[in-house]
Amino acid sequence: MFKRILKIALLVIGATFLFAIPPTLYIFISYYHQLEAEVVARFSGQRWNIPSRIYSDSLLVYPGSSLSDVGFFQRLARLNYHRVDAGQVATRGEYSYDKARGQLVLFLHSFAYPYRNESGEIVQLNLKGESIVSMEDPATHRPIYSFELEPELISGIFQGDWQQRRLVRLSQIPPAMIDAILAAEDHRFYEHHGIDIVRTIKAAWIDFTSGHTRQGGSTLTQQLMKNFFLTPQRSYKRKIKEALMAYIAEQRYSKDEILENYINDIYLGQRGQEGIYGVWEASEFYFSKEPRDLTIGEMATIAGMISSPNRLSPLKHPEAARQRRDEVLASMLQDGYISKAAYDVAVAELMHPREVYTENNDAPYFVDYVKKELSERYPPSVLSAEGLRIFTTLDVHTEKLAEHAIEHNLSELEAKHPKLLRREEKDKLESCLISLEPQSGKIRAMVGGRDYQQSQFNRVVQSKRQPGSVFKPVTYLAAFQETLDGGPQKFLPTTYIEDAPFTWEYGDMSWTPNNYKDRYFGHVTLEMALEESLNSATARLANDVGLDRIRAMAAKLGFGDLPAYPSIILGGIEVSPIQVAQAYAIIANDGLQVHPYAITAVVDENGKVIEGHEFTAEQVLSPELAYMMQFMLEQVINHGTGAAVRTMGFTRPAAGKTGTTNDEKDAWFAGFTPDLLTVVWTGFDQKEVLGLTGAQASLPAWTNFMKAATASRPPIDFTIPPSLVDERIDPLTGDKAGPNCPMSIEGVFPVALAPTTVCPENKAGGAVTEDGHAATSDLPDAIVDPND
Amino acid sequence: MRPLSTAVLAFTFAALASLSISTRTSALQAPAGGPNKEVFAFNEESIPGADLTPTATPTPAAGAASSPGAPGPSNAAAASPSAAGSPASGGSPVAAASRAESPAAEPTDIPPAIDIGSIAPTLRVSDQPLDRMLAAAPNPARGASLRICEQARQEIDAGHYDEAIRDLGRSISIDPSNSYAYVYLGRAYILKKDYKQALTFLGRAAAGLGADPVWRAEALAFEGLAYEQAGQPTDAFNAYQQALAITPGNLTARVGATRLAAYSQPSNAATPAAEDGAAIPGAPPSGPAPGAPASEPPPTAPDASPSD
Repeated sequence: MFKRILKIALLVIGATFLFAIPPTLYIFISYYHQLEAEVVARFSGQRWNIPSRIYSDSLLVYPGSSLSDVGFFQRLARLNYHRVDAGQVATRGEYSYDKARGQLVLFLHSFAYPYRNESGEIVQLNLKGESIVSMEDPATHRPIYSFELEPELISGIFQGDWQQRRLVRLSQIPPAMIDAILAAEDHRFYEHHGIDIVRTIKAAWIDFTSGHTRQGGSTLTQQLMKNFFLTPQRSYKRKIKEALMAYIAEQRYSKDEILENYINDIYLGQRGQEGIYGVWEASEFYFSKEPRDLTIGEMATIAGMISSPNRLSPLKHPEAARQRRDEVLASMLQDGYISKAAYDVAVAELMHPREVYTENNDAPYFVDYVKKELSERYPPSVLSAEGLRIFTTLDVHTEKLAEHAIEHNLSELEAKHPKLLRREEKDKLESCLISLEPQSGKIRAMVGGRDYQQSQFNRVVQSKRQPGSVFKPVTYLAAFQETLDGGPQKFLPTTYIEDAPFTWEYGDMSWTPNNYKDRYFGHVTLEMALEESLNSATARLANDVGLDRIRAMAAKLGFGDLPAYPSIILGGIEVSPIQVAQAYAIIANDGLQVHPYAITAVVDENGKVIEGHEFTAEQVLSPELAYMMQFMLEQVINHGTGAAVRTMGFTRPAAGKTGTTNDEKDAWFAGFTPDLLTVVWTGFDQKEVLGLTGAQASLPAWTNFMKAATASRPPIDFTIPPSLVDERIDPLTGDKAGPNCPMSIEGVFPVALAPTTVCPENKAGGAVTEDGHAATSDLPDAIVDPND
Repeated sequence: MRPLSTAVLAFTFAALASLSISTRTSALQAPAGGPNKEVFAFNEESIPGADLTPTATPTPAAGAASSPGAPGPSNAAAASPSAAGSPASGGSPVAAASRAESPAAEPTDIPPAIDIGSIAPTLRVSDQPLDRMLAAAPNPARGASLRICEQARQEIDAGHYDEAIRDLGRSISIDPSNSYAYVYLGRAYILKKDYKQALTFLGRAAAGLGADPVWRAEALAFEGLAYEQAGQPTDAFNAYQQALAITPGNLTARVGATRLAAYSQPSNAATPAAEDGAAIPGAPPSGPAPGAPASEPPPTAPDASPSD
């Protein structure tokens, strides 16, 4: 019997070996190969999707700059520079400010610009108040004439989560950093083969006795496999798979390769929506340093965070971070990575909570604009995964001024005019602003609406609204162009035209433009007609010049091919604010068209510039024509419908035009100094009646913005071309006004058309009016209620 | 016989080659103490500082020493158009250094000179370091802008035109009223052979430099050069004349006008009064676009009246 049972048992065992184990082995081997293929594919291919980063423009700092005017300290904060005591600036990313002594010492970050690398130097700024008097190297006292404060990160392009990392080689990381990581996470990294059996059994025993999965016994390799392939879920099945993959990785790849992947992969915290991955990003984020500049204590801090980055953040929980850091330092000492002396120094390092700038979607409308432009040239897979760096023209300080100006203006308007209040977000009063440099074409600020979270509709580029009187300069330009071309009619700023009710017959239709409140001023100069935005006078001028010339001028200025009906001259078309900005920029830039642009350079992850911007221009208008219009638009601000600019305290040379549509649904102000142009629009998206003029609704935002935005720039005046002359003339005779002429007005003339004889009224002792717009019986008074 | 004929051929070839090399290098050397030779060259490629500056390139911050003396007629020389137009005469700094050391060659194909009197020619101001202008900068932004211009000037000298253009864009962004930057932009685009763009920027420079006649003349002189390179000799001649009307000593304009004397118009001596149908000074040029084949010259009047 016993023999029989034994025989059966042996038979069963034999059958098991014969029939069960081979298939099991086969299944296991297949599974092993499958995992191996996954591991190899992951290690061989692109291991991470590196998001693209969008940067602002850099800031050139030079003696004469005012720290407050350029928002210097706010920029330092956004760039994660942190302040230390005077005399303590020792590493990149630190600065000290001794207000009493008037000294600011700044250790610049290293930065890879598109066409050069800057390694980060120390600069001492010698100040008088807030102004930089001089700059020098504090060690050698070598004068420094200028330096660049690096661009700010304003956004990223990514799919899914924003995992920001900078890939580095193991050799780029200080050995002490590696030691700290090993001490914190895997003492026996170089001894095991992917799985630390001792540690695993210990962890399993703890889990078993506690009744649930509590402790991880994972090696670095296992952690890497988990991050690459697996979920964070803790289960036995996942642990087995993880262990097997770790073993496979160790068989296929060297310890250094595994370690290199690990230091680039690990999650180390959060900055807003941006996840911080890899030791390089962590080093810059927490300590504003490159890894090579970290102290032992700082390295231990980062290493200690790996197990729980948010709970052990030195920024938010410095005490917990310090305790963990000290544990890591103790391990490093025990493992012989550091000496006792180094340990003593490291544990004595203080850890302070520090504010870190976490906003990473500055200028959202501008970022959308940039992304749209990029998407026309690069596929999404490249933009979100290949670590491009996109450098733009945006100035974050100027952008914030613009956002504030728009927000403040809308609040003021709604407070002053409660009828403008709306309950639903989508119905609320809206406004937008674009600001650019006419000479360089750089878009410096773009605000597409009052609240991006409520509406991503970028009114600067996407909205088409009637421009109203901001379109009027086109007619005057066409008229002056005819004169400069030697045409039979002579139109100059001081040419007279009739401002009286007028009907324009065309085909079998007619059009009768009305002045504001039906007020007409009779015989006026073209200068005054534009200053006071007189519809009738402008229409009459347009009729004289001809619609074809006006349409040709409009096309030159970028408004496209407009229909041939008279109402276009008063803005009876639809345009976007950026089109208006582009047209006015030509006038501001002495007739040169420099296309507005947002992207300066695109750089790949290897530092190669794959796209740049070439500075080109086209002479669309002659400098003379442009200056004549600059002159006219200056009078609008100095005397006309835009005079509130002056009463609000903006004193720089400036030119501009108000615009209100006939139905009072759109309010515009487009204006410029010689170096900055800004267009503001206000209205309802649903085209409800606003009931306010451009001077009332948009001019205040323009003025408040420009006062702040130009504060850092020297005041410069418009430059008259050599072939024009600026003359005061007798308005009655057109002759040159002598010092004793009873009245005079200012005008600009081509040299060949300038008056040469002095007016006959120039008698000694006669009264002289300084203000060329003082009325005579033939000239109207300035209009109190502006007609746009 | 074969070795002998081979030797004779080789000797002949070597002799011709060495003769060609010595002729070429001698054509491009600036005489000691003389002006930049490049002003005599037909092709702008051999003109800018990188190619043909004298061996003592001025750079020190304390102020550059300008080349002393004026050239006498005997020092005048020009590379032949074919040599100047060859690829080897491009903006290579190494080639520039070797060319600068060779003796001058005799000119060829120069049209009859215009007698412009005994006015001493001025050195090209845009080749000189901007130290004095920096010291006299009216405001910090202008100073910062001019420093970048100086950097761009050196980049142009070194043949790095794209870098110079980028820097000049930056310079203009810092101080848009710095019209000097446009002069260098024009020069850089001439060197890139984008004459249309060069003329755009040089025109802008000329319009903005009314208060600095020397530099305005410089801008106009380079306009002349750009027109010349673009195959518009009449416009070029007019631009040179405008430059000379302001600064008779402008060397670029003097030599350019001399070179193009054959294309001068007989009736463009005085500034005509404006009449109906006549273009007003300052109107946009109505001639063919740069780069188009030269055609019947349009009736343009000279721009500015002489300043002295």
